[in-house]
Amino acid sequence: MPLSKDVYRVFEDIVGEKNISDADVILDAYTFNWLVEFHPGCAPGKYLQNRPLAVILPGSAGEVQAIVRACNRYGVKYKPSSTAYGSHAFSLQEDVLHIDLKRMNRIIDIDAKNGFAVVEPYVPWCQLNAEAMKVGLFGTAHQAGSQASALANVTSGWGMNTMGNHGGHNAKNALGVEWVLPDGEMIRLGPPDAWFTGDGPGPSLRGVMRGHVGALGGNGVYTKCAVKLHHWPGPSTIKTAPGGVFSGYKLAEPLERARVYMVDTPDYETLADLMYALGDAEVCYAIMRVGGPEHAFAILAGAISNQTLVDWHEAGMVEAAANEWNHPLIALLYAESDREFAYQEKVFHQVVEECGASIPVAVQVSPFKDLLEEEFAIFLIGNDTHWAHHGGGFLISAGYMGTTDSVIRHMGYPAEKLKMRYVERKGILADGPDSTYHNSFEHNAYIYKELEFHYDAANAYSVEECRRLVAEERDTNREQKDGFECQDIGLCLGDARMTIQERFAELGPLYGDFHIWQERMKRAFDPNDVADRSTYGIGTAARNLKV
Amino acid sequence: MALEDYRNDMMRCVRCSSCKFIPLGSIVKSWQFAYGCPASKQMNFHSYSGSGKLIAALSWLDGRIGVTPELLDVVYRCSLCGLCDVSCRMGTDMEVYEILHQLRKKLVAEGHGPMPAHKPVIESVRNYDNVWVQPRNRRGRWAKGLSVKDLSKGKEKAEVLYFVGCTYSYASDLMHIPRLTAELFTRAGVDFGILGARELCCASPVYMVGQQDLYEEYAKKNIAMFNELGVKKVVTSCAGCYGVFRSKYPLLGEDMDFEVVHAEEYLAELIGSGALVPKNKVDLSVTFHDPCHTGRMAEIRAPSGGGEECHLGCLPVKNVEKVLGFDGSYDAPREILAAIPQMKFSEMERIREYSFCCGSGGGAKSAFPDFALSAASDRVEEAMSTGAEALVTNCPWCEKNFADAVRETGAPIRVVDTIELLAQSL
Ligand SMILES: Cc1cc2nc3c(=O)[nH]c(=O)nc-3n(C[C@H](O)[C@H](O)[C@@H](O)COP(=O)(O)OP(=O)(O)OC[C@H]3O[C@@H](n4cnc5c(N)ncnc54)[C@H](O)[C@@H]3O)c2cc1C
Ligand code: SF4
Ligand code: SF4
Repeated sequence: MPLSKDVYRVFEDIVGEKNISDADVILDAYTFNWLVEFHPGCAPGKYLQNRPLAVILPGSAGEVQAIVRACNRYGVKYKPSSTAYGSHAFSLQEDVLHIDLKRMNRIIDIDAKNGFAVVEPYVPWCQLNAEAMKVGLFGTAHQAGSQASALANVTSGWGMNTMGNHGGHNAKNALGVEWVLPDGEMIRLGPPDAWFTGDGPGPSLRGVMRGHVGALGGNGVYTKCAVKLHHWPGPSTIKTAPGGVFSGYKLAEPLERARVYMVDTPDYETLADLMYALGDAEVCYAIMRVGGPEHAFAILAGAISNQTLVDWHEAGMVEAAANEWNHPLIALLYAESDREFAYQEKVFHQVVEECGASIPVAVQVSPFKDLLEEEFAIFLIGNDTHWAHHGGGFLISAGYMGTTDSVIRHMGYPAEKLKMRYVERKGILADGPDSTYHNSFEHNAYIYKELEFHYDAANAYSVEECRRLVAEERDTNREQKDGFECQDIGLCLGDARMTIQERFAELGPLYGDFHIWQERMKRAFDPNDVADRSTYGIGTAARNLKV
Repeated sequence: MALEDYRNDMMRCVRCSSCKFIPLGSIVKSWQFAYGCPASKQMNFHSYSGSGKLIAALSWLDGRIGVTPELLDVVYRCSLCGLCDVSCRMGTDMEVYEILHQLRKKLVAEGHGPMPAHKPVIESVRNYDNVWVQPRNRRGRWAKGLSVKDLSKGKEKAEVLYFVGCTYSYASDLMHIPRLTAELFTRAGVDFGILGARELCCASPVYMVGQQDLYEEYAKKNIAMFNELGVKKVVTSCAGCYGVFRSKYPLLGEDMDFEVVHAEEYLAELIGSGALVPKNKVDLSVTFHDPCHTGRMAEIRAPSGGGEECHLGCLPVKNVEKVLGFDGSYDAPREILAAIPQMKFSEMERIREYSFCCGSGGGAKSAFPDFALSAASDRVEEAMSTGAEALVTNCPWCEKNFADAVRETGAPIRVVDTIELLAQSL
């Protein structure tokens, strides 16, 4: 049911006429998104079945609170978003008010001494880090790209990042938080007069706020957050020049005391050993994987053009690399002093050798050599990811978070085998079996890993194939009950045959009945049931459960 | 070529919002100047971004939305500056600019566009061959008293046609720019002439608002006239003329027997060869604004018309080469400024292919003056942040818009054309 004129006016009075709209052209921009095609009933299009009732743009925490209170008063459901990259940022429910936080875009403070910044929701990592670098700090930007919100990532969803080996998972990088609860009450996590911690006084609510995956907009609205920043050994700005392979740009001058390595491991066992050893050695500023050679080249070609990837294949470059290396890992060494850098180099090489890893010849010549020397640092800083959408999308299977050993050793091969069957059917990009993206945390003690596969969002067969692939993977997974955390809890999509609530109900018993706990919290914090339920709480599926 | 041909690209937008910002690979340098899209900076609904317009276009094609005032606002409250295209294409093969333009074309073709404020401009071109509702016979007035060849009658010949453009021809506050330019050419011994009253609008403004028929008519007339004159080079001072001559006319498939050069490129060459030697000191600190139409929008973006093939499973490969805005005319004004003794030059954060638009292009200044002013004020602030006393540029539209912003905000900075500084130093 559309908002009545009177209720619309209530919201309009809060934010002003310019900052609310129910025009179709405005609403459709909050209905169309990447990954929508993997929700039941949406494919092959990218529009959700329901438009929001209206989109509202609050300019302050006070306005957010007034909106949420009005939602409670008039029984209007709401969904907040920051940069809204991906379908999880929109509600799958009917009759929902979408709260776009774009006007709340200030960096309130950077506390250089204590290493954090207080930001509003629509401060993307690129803005935050540009300012943080000026004071020798850097935030753990995540791979959705540095155009995505820092606050959303640390408070509300996921948190995997390339610097996690020393900077931690972003769930840990949320300090003090200003939070408009689902019923409209405003609270602060952490002491009322300081932002350096999100705990106390009294029992910590951080777990309730964030959990592991994040409440994805189902648990009120976070209006400010202190984001932990980490040391930055680099200059206050990076000088770039056109001409890069990967992002179109390269470093105008080399970064001092920095070097990017790509090391290869013959198998996943060696890779896991290398991860632990590098974690213990504490010599890397950033660590990540972009899969095996075919996938790495596919990603590399992103900025140039899809044609480039075809050319590289035709020139035999990709095949040559595939013959030489197997499961590479990328590491950035970056030191505060020459002495520290020399130490990092020495230890790094020793660890590589001791673990049976090697530096492939193919990465010591163009284009990989140039990429590593001139560009990869930019990539790690810029974290630009839209290159990964060769045909307008990628999806993941085998997205797991767990101890390094268990995830790397056990989770790779079966999913790769499955993927290759679909590669043969030409529904997804042929980029080899190992298209693994991974980040590690806490000195590589645990990792997040996903097997990416690229599809063409404009090609109905390709989209269908992805849906089939994920469904098949989920079925296998279901049978195995393997005890790993499946990322679809977080991504809330994938198996297009069922709703998220049905998937929660299915996965819950495998993971400590999280769905019941979540539903309990939902009911306790959201008595009028107005905060969005599409990705939080099992909703109607909870009817038959004792919560 | 039609909007429908780009359906696949619309479907491939992932709504990442990269098109709101300057390309991330170039590393944003501050919170304040991270935005690249002036429309997104001013209007906060996602619909106003490049991505939002792609979604709007798809929704309209699919019959999900009709043509409403809100749709027209989304489409035309945009300077068609092409930043979104550059930022998106740093990682994709999508033709964002082409879609934005096709969307305008379709709106016009179906009788919904352009905006009411654009109609007098279109009529002016139709009736007077210029955008300023001015009589044809006053077009050459700027050259009064100068001894320059008049190529319009076919009696005199020259190697170079100096094409001045509507705004420099008629705007009395800007007329000194073509006069100075002509004087510099004369001083350097350039064999050039002008068209005077026979000069026609380049038709960039009508192209920008989507009036394709009129654009093609004038573009073809201009090409034919330039060919007929037998000139080797067409040199222009106006960024709009330069951009459309260089990047859009070639797409019409007509033979073009001449090279298109910006006056500053020509002058930079003359300085390089020693034909002009800036000697006088100009004790001024300056920064330079790259106009969209001498920069990224001067690069030829051959549209694919939706042509693509599938490779490596499902990898869509386009039938055209991708460009990223690098081939604009960025160096010439900087070379000129560097040659002026004692001038202090600092760059702004958003430069070259990711320059922040002044906000006046694409018909935005006439239809949405508040939008144009907000973009210009943002840019003026950026110029001020460099400590510059003068904001230098080489486009009459940008100059006018910046001057308005400076007047409005009282910002203590001058708006100057590169040519004025060069002339001062000679
Ligand atoms: C290509 C791609 C790669 C990705 N890679 C990674 C990765 O490597 N690591 C990682 O951690 N994540 C990754 N993600 C997920 C990403 O973290 C999320 O998309 C999100 O955090 C990005 O920020 P955003 O501003 O777009 O958030 P949004 O999409 O706006 O929000 C994310 C979620 O949080 C909710 N939310 C946002 N702001 C608020 C708020 N102020 N209060 C309450 N709820 C809010 C939204 O409702 C939504 O459910 C990836 C996503 C994409 C599309
Ligand atoms: S137009 Fe390009 S940059 Fe903008 S959201 Fe879509 S994919 Fe991203
Ligand atoms: S053309 Fe310029 S103003 Fe228009 S949407 Fe793109 S970046 Fe924004």
